[in-house]
Amino acid sequence: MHDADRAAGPGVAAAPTVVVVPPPARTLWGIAVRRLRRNPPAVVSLVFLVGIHLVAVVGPAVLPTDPFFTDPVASLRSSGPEHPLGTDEVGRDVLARLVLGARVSLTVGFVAMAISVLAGVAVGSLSGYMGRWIDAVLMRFTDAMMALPTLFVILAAAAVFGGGPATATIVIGLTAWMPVARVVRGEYLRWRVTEFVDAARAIGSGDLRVMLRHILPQVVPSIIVAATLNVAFAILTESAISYLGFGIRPPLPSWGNMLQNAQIYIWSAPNLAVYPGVLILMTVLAYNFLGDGLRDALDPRLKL
Amino acid sequence: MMVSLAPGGPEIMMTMEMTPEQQDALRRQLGLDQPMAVRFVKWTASAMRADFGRSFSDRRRVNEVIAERLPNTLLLGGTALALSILIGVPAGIISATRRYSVTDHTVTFASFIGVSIPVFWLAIILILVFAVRLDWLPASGMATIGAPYSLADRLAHLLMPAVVLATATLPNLVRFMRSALIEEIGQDYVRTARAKGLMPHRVLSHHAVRNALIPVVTVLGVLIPRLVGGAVITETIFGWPGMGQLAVASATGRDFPTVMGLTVVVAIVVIITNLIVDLAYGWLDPRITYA
Repeated sequence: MHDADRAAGPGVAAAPTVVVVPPPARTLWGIAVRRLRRNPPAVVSLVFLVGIHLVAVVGPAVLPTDPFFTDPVASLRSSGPEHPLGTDEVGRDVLARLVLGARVSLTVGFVAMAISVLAGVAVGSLSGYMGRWIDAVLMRFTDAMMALPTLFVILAAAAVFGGGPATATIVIGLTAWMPVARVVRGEYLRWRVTEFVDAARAIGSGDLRVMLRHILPQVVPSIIVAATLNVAFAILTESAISYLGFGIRPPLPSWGNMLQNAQIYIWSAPNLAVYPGVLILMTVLAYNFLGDGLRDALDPRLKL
Repeated sequence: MMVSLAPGGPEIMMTMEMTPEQQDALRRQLGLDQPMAVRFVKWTASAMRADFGRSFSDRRRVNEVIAERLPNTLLLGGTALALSILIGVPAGIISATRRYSVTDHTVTFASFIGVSIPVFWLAIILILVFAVRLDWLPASGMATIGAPYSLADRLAHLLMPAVVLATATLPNLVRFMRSALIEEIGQDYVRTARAKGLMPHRVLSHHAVRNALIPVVTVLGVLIPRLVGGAVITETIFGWPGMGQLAVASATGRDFPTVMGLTVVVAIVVIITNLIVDLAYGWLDPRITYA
């Protein structure tokens, strides 16, 4: 724990110009960082996620191989010097497709997460802050949405709009906001009866200002946890609907649609089934571990 | 309703070699010549009377098609739920009572993997191992074709899909059972029960676990839609003739009446199971009454 403590203060290690070494941070975030460091699964997950996101951002530009170049002669190759992870059924380089697929899958995950968090925070804060009939109506609506199985909604939407990346992303986002709304509502119920909120109202702050400037910052930790877990959910859901053929469509690769044909070639090329699946599993697992670690780290009830 | 707005529409797959007259006739026959609003009002009116019209693909009544599929999905979903409870609750109890032990860490890690694994990928791997390589279990369908019905055959076909579907609910159940029981074990009444000299297992079974089950039952209500969603993938991969498989097939074929009927029926099934879950509270927690 020695290293962790030394590095906990911001800017201690580098920056020789700093004269006064700040005391170990005792803010919520400082404490959270220290707690997170003591959670090995969360740390390993964070490192893995930083790596995979780097690959997704710079990988497609750096990699010399074209993920769309088909070469029927070289189809279903196993690993070799030319294709480090082999080729798929039409001779495309699997590594190049995995790298571009990372960008596609993670983008869907993030955009869907952003949609779900925006919708969830909007519904939850309105519901929790306003109370009364607004709360009743919004919460019944939330319950109703929760009763609809995600995949059925997505299939119905795919039948309407014909599937595709945009539809898939939006629908995933719109089927994942309910838990966020419930958490946010609970927090707003708790904070709106506190003294600082009374004080803010007493000096004349309007409802919107109290909601956004005073209460929302208190809710940020819960939102971060929910957002992290929602990225995991979105990546997993994207892979499932792309596998079914309603999400990302080839030739654009995503980890999910790379598995579409893997079943057929599972004997001649088992690597086609293994690599994308393992990547999905590891990425989603990492997001879940990180989200869980963040929940513990940001819980104000726990002492250091 | 929105489904009928789809660009292209069901005509898409029928227009290849049709004359314009035939297209018009087909459109009139399917009711697609009428404006959207009219179709939606008609659909809602008949849906209220539990009539979802006829399937575009084979002109059979949607009710009939769904009625055929519903029992299969209930069998698969029920088995998966039973597996989840039978494994999940004890696993959670063991994990909570031996907190931070190797067993606990293993169970927790396994449940994280269960939450994170793509269901369809797990299915592919299981088929590869148990159906293809070992040839122990059939890879798809509900029964061996041509063979007379036998319980053993049905169970063999049921096992893999049920296990795969259970991963949609089992890991969450384990984690909730664990945290709920840990919370209860810390309560004063548990200490009192121990102090008065009850056997540890009796304190658990008669006091802590009963109370811990209450929040777990709530989670069951939330998990049931996930189970139904998971059925879509599981049924498709294992060729299980249920509602999920039908939903994928009819979404692909733009068979709007079937998709809409399925979505409504699935929502009703979820609401009924949630009602059952709510009623189970009263039984588990005598403080709750339904006025």
